[in-house]
Amino acid sequence: MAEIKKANGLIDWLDQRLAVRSLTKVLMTEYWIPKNINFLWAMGVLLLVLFSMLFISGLFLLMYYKPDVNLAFDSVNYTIMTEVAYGWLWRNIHAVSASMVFLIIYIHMFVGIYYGSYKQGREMIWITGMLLFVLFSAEAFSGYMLPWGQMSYWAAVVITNLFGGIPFIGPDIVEWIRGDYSVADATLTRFFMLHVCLLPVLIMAVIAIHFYSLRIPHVNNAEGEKLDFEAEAQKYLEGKKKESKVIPFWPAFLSKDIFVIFVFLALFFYLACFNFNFALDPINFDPANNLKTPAHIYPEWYFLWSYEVLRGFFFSSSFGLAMFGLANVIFFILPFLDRSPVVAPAHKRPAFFAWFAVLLIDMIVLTIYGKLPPEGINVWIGCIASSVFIALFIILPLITKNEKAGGNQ
Amino acid sequence: MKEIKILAILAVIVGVIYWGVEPLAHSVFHPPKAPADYQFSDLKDLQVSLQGNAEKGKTLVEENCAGCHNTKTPENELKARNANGVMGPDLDTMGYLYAPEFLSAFLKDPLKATLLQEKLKGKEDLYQMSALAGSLDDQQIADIIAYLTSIAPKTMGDREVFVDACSRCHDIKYDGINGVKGIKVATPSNFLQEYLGAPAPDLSTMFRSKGEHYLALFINDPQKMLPGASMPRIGLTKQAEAQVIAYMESIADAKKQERESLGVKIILFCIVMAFIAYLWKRKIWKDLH
Repeated sequence: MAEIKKANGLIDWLDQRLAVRSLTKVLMTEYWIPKNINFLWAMGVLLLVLFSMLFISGLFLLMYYKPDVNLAFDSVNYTIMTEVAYGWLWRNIHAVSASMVFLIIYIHMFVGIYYGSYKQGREMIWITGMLLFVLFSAEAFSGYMLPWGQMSYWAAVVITNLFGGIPFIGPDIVEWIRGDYSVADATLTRFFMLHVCLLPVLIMAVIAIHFYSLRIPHVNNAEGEKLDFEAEAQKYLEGKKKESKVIPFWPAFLSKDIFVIFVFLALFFYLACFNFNFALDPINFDPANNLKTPAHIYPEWYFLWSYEVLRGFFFSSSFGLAMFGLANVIFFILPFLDRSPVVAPAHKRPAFFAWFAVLLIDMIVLTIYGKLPPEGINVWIGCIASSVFIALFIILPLITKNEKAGGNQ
Repeated sequence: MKEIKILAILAVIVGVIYWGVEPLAHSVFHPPKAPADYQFSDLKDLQVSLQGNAEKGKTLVEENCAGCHNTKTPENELKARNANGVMGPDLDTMGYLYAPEFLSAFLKDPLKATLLQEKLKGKEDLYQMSALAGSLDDQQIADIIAYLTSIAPKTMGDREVFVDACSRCHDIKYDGINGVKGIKVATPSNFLQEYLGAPAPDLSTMFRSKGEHYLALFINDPQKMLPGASMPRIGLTKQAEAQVIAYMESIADAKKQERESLGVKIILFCIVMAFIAYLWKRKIWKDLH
């Protein structure tokens, strides 16, 4: 056991017991980040801010929400929105954050793809990140059910029904997930449990793993340059700050992030207070009614691209379901589909840049057509865009393999 | 400079997605409809524009209408009487609520004016006013309308308008504490179900789910917006309809004022903090570049 001396202050007292000085160094002042980065590298911290806002606003909502099919709708739309002081604010923050979290996740993902930040030792960062994406998706879906409006109910019906397409055990799985023969009170209470307990706990655990996965391979930079972090850190500590290619997480990296965070929050609160219908679907302000199907059923915007893959292969619903399943997991193996060892921004890898551009445009097309009704030409656009999406992942290894052979390095 | 370029690209991409998912999709879901018609031009051949005499109208109302309609019934009494059926609505505010273009056509042919003739084909008797069709001549109709206009209040509150115009079928359970003070359905729902084919929905959150634009068109002409809708056309004036919608908004979006005034303050706070954060960032990065 360490020798405990009389402390000369609170910090020292804590340091002798918890090693807070070393801890601060390891986590903050001597956690090294490349200097050559732009504001796109602030998305991770932004996501942490959004998750904190979801967590805190969620706690407040949880004080008044009632997970019961007879009470849920009014507890949200009357108690929280009208009776509780600033209940509307917590609800709008919660709803807009849920939508914004996905926007930032997608930016975070595409930044990673663009700069090749998922390879050469950074595979686990990517994989844990994708795991977070899946957990957030489950969290968003389970949360969407809780207000028990028309869209909550019908989204629950449609999505739980998807599992019925699994061969042999499908119908049993559907019943097991719903806890009843149809979407009903048992379904609501179990999704409530998932939303406020199991999934948040898993998300927090995986966030910790995601952060940890950064420690060994370090953060990538805007040129994909391989840095000797120890040597660069040494330079920084010797006072050659201008020369060093790294900066400490605190205060240098975070000072930039905090600026980005407040600019983002200004926009965020504009949305939360003035323009929130994109995150609080109007149809969901009609109470759930199992006898009345809404004219258009669609998921929230962030699921539209995969929803379009699901229905894009209109000629076979089971093929569509298989492709939908594939689309949701294919990003996990991206580090292994990209066969090129080159870590560089996409604009320095012509073939990969083209692939990236097509992927981006294709996902935007899928998102937009995922909301439009599947009629006339929309059906074909959806079919082509879905096929392109799948094809992109088939050709990625070929493109990147050629890159290696062609010596683009 | 490079960061501005990246931000611009990001803004374009997010903007395109937003445009596709919100305005574009909405325009496809809700194709444009003809604007609301407060002249009720489709009833032109039924409308009466003769000069009426309020004195004569009073006598006509006493002889023809007073058997079913009061001029002022306390809300509680109305509920009690309606326990087993429909009692006619009060006449005192009709001159305020309903456009004369609608009222005159209604007195001539109630089913046609309310667009119920298809729905009630063969069971016209369910709608008690249908017996009135053809029983009054144009001058009598003009006199009755002159009388109703003369007894109507000059101004009414939004909630009052809603109570007289809508609450005979629709509930607003969010008005008051857990519905204790709420507007209660005046007509028993089983009766509504029988003659309109569906119970009338509670309107507490309808403003949020349908929006102002849709509601205005729907109230003016339910069949145009939702073919086969159970709701009859009720013929509100533009003013009365705006008051109904304003009341519905005050319930469905009760904290609008608080939201907008607080929103501006939070946004300003964030902008100030962003500015301070920027200065701090410059100070720290001065040594790094």
